[in-house]
Amino acid sequence: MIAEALFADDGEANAARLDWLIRDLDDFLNRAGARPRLVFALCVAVLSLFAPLWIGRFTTLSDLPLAERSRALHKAEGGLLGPPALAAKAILCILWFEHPDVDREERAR
Amino acid sequence: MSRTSGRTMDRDVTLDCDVVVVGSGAGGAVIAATLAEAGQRVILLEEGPVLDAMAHGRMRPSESLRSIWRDAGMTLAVGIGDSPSINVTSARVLGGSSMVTGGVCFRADAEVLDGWSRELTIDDLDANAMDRWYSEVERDVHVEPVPVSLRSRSTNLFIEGGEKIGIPFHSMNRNTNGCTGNGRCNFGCPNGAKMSVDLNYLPRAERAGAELWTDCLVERVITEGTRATGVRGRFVDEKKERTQFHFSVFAKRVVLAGGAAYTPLILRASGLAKRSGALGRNLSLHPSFRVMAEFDEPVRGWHGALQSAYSDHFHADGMVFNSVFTPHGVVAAAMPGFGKHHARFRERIANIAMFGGMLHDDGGGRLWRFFGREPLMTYRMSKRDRARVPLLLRRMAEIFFSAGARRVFLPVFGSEPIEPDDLAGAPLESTHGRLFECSSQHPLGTCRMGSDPRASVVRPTGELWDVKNVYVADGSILPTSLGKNPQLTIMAMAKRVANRLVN
Ligand SMILES: Cc1cc2nc3c(=O)[nH]c(=O)nc-3n(C[C@H](O)[C@H](O)[C@H](O)COP(=O)(O)OP(=O)(O)OC[C@H]3O[C@@H](n4cnc5c(N)ncnc54)[C@H](O)[C@@H]3O)c2cc1C
Repeated sequence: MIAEALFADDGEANAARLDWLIRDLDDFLNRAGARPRLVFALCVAVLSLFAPLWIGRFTTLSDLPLAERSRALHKAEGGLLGPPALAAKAILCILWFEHPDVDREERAR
Repeated sequence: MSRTSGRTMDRDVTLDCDVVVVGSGAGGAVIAATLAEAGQRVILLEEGPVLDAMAHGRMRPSESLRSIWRDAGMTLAVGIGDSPSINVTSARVLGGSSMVTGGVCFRADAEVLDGWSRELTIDDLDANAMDRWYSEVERDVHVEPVPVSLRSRSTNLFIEGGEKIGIPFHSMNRNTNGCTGNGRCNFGCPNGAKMSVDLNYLPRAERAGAELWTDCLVERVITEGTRATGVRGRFVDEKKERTQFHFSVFAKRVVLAGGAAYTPLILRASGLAKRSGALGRNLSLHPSFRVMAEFDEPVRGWHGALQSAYSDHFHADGMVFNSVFTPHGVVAAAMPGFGKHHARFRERIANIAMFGGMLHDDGGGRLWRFFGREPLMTYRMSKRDRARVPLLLRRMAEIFFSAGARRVFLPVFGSEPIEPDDLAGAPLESTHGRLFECSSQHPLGTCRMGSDPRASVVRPTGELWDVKNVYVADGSILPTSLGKNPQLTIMAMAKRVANRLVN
């Protein structure tokens, strides 16, 4: 849900890469240990419950359409929700940029 | 070679030796090698697993994080009041945090060492006396200057900007041998060129007969009256959970080197070192801030040495600039927005340069016992340090702009990058501390050394004030922060403690 909102550029995020990310995230959290698993789950829960308030919506993040979700998270990261937003974003970005396609993209630049 | 993993243990184990060392990082490895080479029977216990240096160098950064970084790199010191919360990283592996350093090796400034010596009235802690231990460590871990040719474009841009406005830079020293500038020291070196302690002190300890036990979590020191007789703990499985099997290691001397965030927990769980009230206090962190800048030209900051140059021009203001670069994902995470907004920036990662700024802090951190075995860290930044944060960021942004940066990303949660004309008006001074993105790799000082038992945890020799034959030899004994990266000083201090133990 957060990954999709983060990596959607002009429409939807690349579905195959998103699947790969979610699988790798599972492995990451399984191997990272109990405390990081808990911290990550808390960050996601807090963002999911409270980020929509930043755009005046009283619902959970998953109920928002993609563009609204990105907007809510963007607004929230500049306020009290900065640390959980950064934690979630950091892990997702680290994994996203380790996708095998990244090397190819880089060479093309 | 004698290495045993606690993962495979299916029974309780009892061992004995002359010296048991807890923790195999910068401090513990030096102690183990020095004492084993002096003929003592040493057992070294490490909570983390073994990871071969070359295998580490082949890992993706996130694999390194999930395997050997404590909490996968997500540990936080909670900011109190107007202080930022700080992401404090360390490693949990044979070789300790030495396995994830950028290799930077600084001696502490003479004024810091002489200050300790003077204020704590410890003669052999001044720069002259410490020279011997520094020199030995520098030889043992192969400290050499980073050649200018290994500097990344990212580093060179910051240097060019600095020099234009009269700020000089110098080459760093690092513990490397054969570095070709892969720009990923924190996640292992593909060439095995980073001379972390797993490549020098630990093999030396083994060759001299030390037994290295990994996946062994020490829980407490065993005491009889005012003497320690050993340590006790539990084996740990591949999920980093404690198993049901215990070990006890009986020894004539115990040396704790679990790092500044963990040694105090062992002492507290053992009911030791309570008298002064200093245990777990006085935590300094060297709060650090990464500033990124976008240039028109491609920068590709990952080509070149991860860390290669520094400036201590603003040393009197307690600030040092250290070159650094991070994996793409960390660069992207520091860019604002989600979705389309974020994509606009992340497409430009190849054009991003980065530099680090670090504060020589007054301390203000504290360790608390938390549920489970992990500590809770809190940090209240001193007023002086807090006032330095906006100044540090302004100076760094100014340097990047003078190098021609199109825009600068300041480490303020969710903030948009600023352009040259925006800098003067950027509301950094009024930004709440909690909105600054801050990290630390250098927890220090939680079992400070001193000559007054009412204000310190260990004696000038490294021995606890209240229990004979328990020593501490890691970053926790440093009396104050250094203002420079600490691994060399921790190793030199461990050499000094080991020398006392040998004699
Ligand atoms: C990402 C990163 C980059 C860094 N880069 C640099 C640099 O370039 N230059 C520099 O000077 N410094 C650097 N540092 C800091 C440096 O690595 C540390 O200051 C130094 O290694 C600390 O040494 P130590 O012996 O106190 O603790 P550590 O090296 O952290 O070792 C402590 C060991 O004890 C183990 N342990 C803890 N508790 C227990 C227990 N109960 N039972 C058994 N074992 C236990 C831990 O698992 C760990 O392996 C960096 C640190 C990090 C995290």
